[in-house]
Order: sequence, then structure tokens, then C-alpha cells
Amino acid sequence: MLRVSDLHAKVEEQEILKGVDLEVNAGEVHAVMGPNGSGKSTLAQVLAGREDYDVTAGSLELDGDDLQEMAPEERAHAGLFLAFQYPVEIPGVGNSYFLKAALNAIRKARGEDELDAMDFLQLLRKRAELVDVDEALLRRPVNEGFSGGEKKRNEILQMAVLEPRLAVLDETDSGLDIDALKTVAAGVNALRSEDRAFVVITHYQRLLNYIVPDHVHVLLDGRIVRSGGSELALELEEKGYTGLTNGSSGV
Amino acid sequence: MTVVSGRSSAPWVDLYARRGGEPEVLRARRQEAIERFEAAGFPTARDEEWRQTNLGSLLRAAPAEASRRPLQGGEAARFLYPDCPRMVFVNGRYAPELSSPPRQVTAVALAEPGAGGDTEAILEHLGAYASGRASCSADAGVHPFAALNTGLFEDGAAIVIPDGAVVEPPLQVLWLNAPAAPATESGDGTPAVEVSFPRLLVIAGENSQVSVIETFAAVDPKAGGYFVCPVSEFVCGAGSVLHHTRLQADATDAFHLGFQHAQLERSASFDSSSLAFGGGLVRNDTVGLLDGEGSHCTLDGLYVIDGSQFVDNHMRVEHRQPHTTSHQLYKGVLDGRARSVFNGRIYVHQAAQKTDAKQTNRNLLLSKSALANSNPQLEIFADDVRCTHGSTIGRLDEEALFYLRSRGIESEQAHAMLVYAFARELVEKASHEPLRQDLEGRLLASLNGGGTR
Ligand SMILES: Nc1ncnc2c1ncn2[C@@H]1O[C@H](COP(=O)(O)OP(=O)(O)OP(=O)(O)O)[C@@H](O)[C@H]1O
Ligand SMILES: [Mg+2]
Repeated sequence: MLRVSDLHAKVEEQEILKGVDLEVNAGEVHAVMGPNGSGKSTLAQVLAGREDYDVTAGSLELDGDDLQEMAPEERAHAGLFLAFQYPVEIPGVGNSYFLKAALNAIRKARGEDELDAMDFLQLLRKRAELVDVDEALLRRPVNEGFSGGEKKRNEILQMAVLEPRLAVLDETDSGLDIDALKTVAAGVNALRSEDRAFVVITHYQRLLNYIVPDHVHVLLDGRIVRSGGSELALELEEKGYTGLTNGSSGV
Repeated sequence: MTVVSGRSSAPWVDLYARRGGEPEVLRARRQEAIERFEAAGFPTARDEEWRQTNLGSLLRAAPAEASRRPLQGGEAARFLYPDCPRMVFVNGRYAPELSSPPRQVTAVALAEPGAGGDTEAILEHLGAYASGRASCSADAGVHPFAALNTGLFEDGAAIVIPDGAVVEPPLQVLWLNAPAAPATESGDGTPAVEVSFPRLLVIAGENSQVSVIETFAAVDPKAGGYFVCPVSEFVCGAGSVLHHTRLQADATDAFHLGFQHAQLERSASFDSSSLAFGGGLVRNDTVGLLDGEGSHCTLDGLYVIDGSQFVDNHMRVEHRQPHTTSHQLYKGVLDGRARSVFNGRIYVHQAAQKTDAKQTNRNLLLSKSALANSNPQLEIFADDVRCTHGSTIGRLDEEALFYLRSRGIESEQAHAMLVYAFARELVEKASHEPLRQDLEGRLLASLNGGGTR
């Protein structure tokens, strides 16, 4: 589904990604771990199409299509979703209005009928219940004044409404209390299916107890330096990142 | 018509000379106003108050009397709110056949005699503020175009609300411009501009409540080449609550130099929203005179401009009495090569202790060549006051744009959503439903029709 090969990317003239290889197949869950500043969010943002991040070498493909040729919205239409590490506050734009606009934009791009207000509201209520988002948050402006945990839940709500085929979750577990963590995991697990895939960026092995990954990767200084099964997360939890060096093989 | 050169006010004074047959008090006031205008001359960039307002293009035009053009049925209808009593003026002249004035209050056309018992009140107030006579502190000077209007207005509306009356729904005054098309040229090739001088006087009696909607519009938005020079005066009696909406949707190459003045007695409240979408060269001078203890004014505004439009809002709020409050919120959305000026002066007199004044001007630039100027000016002569002001000039939040797009929303729609979000509070505050829908529609239309985004 997703194929990242030898990806190099610059931010503000500084090379952050220095040759990332990653292949994700439908039905799989991949975890990406790594120390602060190693480039995890950069990878996520590059996947979503952020324009001020320069891809200098390598390639990104979604279902064989070159992602670099696609605008951020086209990537979303193709089924890509990024849960931001730092969700953006948008004063003046109502949360549910925004979600309706997003869902209908995606449906329209796919040649499906747009949902009317009633149908959308029904869908939204169901999804909000699934990920335990308070209805009051739906009426407020997008993320404005939301607590850290509420912002993360709101990302998962968006994912649940938009039903992407490939979801990249950037530290969605950070800042969540233990109940919220379980709800978020339940939201992800409810979406898990044969034709969907997830890339879960996290610092904590704990999340991976609830969302059990098929593969775990360690990103260090812009490269994936180690990959393994879910047991790798446990090992990292125990030993930390020291001792891992560049140069080991990725997947 | 006389050739205009330099600071000459001659062609305008020529127009004045043709007037006649009015009550003596008005005649005298007109005379005084036109003399003031003549003495001050046409403002130039050397006048401090007009430094940022380039009137060159107006100066190069030859003023011509507004033409008399009968309107086709329906040409006015799209600017009207069906449930509102209304007075419609075409090129500054009352059009009774298009109007249905309110019954329970006095609403008369100035050119037509017969305001019943209110004639005296009307004559007392008409022009008493706008021409610099009773207005403002000494340094406010004369507003040249307010004086010009006082000298030259042909017609206008006077609305008198009796003490204690609560008027519903809002009253609408439509100032419709329908210049003879195509714009004529005077003999020597200078472009002629048809001039009209809309004049509104609203007197709100003690403890009365009323909403007035003023709409400035062009029958044909592409047939510009006219100059509208309106003055609106609001006299807010003790305890009255006056809401005012000023929708300016003139042709995009029209000149619009307006002046509005609100005089507030004890505990009166004046709440005004000024929304500018049209006009090529636009200037609005707004004066809020808090002349009674405990009075309050809200002066809000929005300008959404594109192309080579220029909009200048000059605000002057004077706190003259204790416990007076004023709130100003002006927002601008500028695209293309549009330019704006916001000049916000708050003047707190020594007697005006416990004044609470707040002023905010926020500008959103959508293009590289749009330009916004914002100049707050606080002059405070009382010591126990709270005055805050802030101005911002910014661009669309790129992170927010990316966030929206990453959810599948097309770039253009994402832009429009963010601009709408920026401006919405100023259109949504309108409480009259048809008005609010109209304003929302105009805002959306101006975003979607917007140039290169
Ligand atoms: N806009 C930017 N301008 C300058 N440097 C940036 C920018 N964005 C990221 N960087 C730098 O790129 C490097 C990688 O950042 P990134 O956010 O990808 O790390 P991360 O692995 O997600 O870290 P964390 O675990 O703390 O979230 C950091 O050194 C960061 O300072
Ligand atoms: Mg990060």
C-alpha cells in the first residue's frame, strides 16, 4: 500500500530525513519509535504533503501512485490520514461543520454523493460515541481551547468519520489519560481491517499493548536503524535507544 | 462645468449656487457649511487628516448633477428586506413609488414639506453636528465633505422616534445609485462624475428603541463613475437604544466619501456596524460623541476588498462624560492590490472619569500587494480610565490551511473557510434574519469571486 524508498527530506535547509525505507501492506499495523528530534513527525508531515518540507531524494508511493505529485487534499482523497502530533486550532470554524466539509470533499472527489446535514449528523453522533467525544466539542471551533487530550480524541474522531485506508498517528497517545488511551485504541481497533493500514508513531510501549503492531521500526537521526516484531518495543522499553546505531538494516 | 485645478472648490460651490427656496434656518446653515468648505478647500495629502487618502482621481473628475433616471420595477427589490418599512432614494432623490415608510414614527423626505410637529426638531438637529458646528472638540476641525453635503444635499430622510417607542422591525433606507450610462465626459475630456448627497437624520426619543439599516448600492455594479457623499446623523436621546447597520455595496469604481455622527445623551446606546464591500475610493468618517453620563457606543466594521479598491475608516470617539464606554472592532480582508486605512482616535476629556474604551483593528492580507494601514490614536485627559487598543495585520495561517487540506478540503475552499471564519462575527451579529442572510451571502460571494488565491 505504502512504499517509502530512500526518502531524504529537508526542513529549513537542514536535512532531517536521511534515507528512510518503509513498506506498509494493507491490513498491517506498523509502529515507529525513536528519540525526540529523530524525524518521526517530519516523516509523517512529508507523507501528508506539507509543502515547506522539501523532498530532496527518494520516493513515496501510495498504491503505486507517486505521492509527491499529489496535493495534500488529493492524498486525503486517496485515503491517507494524518493524526497530527500538534492538532491545529482553527478559530471561527465549527468542528462539525469542518468535519462535514472534509467528508463531503472526500466523497465528492471519489464520485460519491455528498451527505446531507441529517445523514451527516447521524454518522457523526455514532462516531463520536465510538471514540467517546463529548457532543459539546462538536459545536466548538476546531480544537480551539481544547485540552491536550481532547485534541487527540478529536483527531481520532476525524479518522473515524473519514475512514482512511492508511492512517498515520503521530503520538496520538501522548497526553492521554489511561481511559482515553483505551478509547483511542478501541477506535483504531474498530477500524482495523484487511484493507486498511496504520502507522503508529509513539514513545510508549504501553499503547502497543492495546494496538498490537505487526512491525516495529526505530527511527534514529533520520534513518530507520532497526525493525522487528512487537517484541522490539519491549526491548526498547527496557534498554532505551542507546546501543542502537545507524547502519542496521531497515525493512 | 468649471475646470477643476489644485485645491479648487469652485465647481462644487457652483452646484451650491443653484439651490433655493428653503427655511431660513436651513439656508443659513447651508451657507455657513459651504463657506467652511470653500475656506478649507478640497483636502490634499498635506492635510494631516487626509494624508493617506489620495483623492486625486476624484479631483480630476468634473462633478455633474445626478441624472434623473426612472427605475424599472424590480431594480430596487433585490436590495430590500421585504418585512422592513423603507425609504428608497435614487441618485439622492426620494422615490415614493419604491418606498413604504413606517406608519408609527415620523419618516419624511427632506425635500418634501410636512413633518408635522417634528419639523422643529428636525431643523434643530439637521446639520447641527455634521458640519463641525456643535461637533467634537476644537481640534476636530471641519469635515470638508460633511460640509459639502450640508451645503448641497437635495433630499434625504428624517426619522423621528417618539419617546418610549419600541420600533420593530428595522427601518431600511436604501440609497440607490443609477448614473446615466455610459459615464459622460465634459467638454475638455475630463471624466464627469454624477454626484449625490444622501442625508439621513435619525432622532431617537428618550428610552426609545429602533434599528436602522442603510444600504448604499448601485443598480448596475459595473456602471460606476459616480460620487456618493452621504452624511448620517444620529441623535440618541437619554436611555435610547439605536442600532445602525451601514451596508456599502457601491459599484467598484464609485467614489464614496461618507460621514456619520452619533450624539449620545445619558445612558443612551448606539450600536453600529459598517460593512464595506463596494466602492473604488471609499472613506468613512465616524464620530461617536458620548455626551451623556453612562452612555455606550459600539462601532464595528468590516471591509472586504479586492482589485484596486481603497477603503479608509476614520474613527473618532469622544468620551465627554463619566462612566461612558466605547467598543470598536474593525476587521479588513484585502486581496489583489487593495489598500485600507484604519485611523482610530479615542479622545477622553478630563471630565470623563471611569471611561472604558476598547479599540481593535485586525487585517487579513490575502495577496502580496495588498496593504493595510492601522493607526490608533489615544488622547486621554482623565486619569481614572481604561483604554485598550490593538491592531494586527496578518496573513492566512498556513498551518491551519495545511490542516484543512490534509482532511481533503480543496485549497480554495480551505482559504474561503478561513477568511469567513475571520470575518463572520461582524456579519453574524446582525440580529435581523434577512439582513444577516444578506450579509453572509455577500461575504461568501466576495470570497468565492475573489481573484488570485
Ligand atoms: N519547521 C522546522 N524548522 C526547523 N527545524 C525543524 C522544523 N521542523 C522540524 N525541525 C527539526 O527537525 C528535527 C526532527 O523533528 P521532528 O519533529 O520530525 O522530530 P520527532 O522525531 O517527531 O520528535 P518528537 O519525538 O520530539 O516529536 C528536529 O531537530 C527539529 O528541530
Ligand atoms: Mg514528533
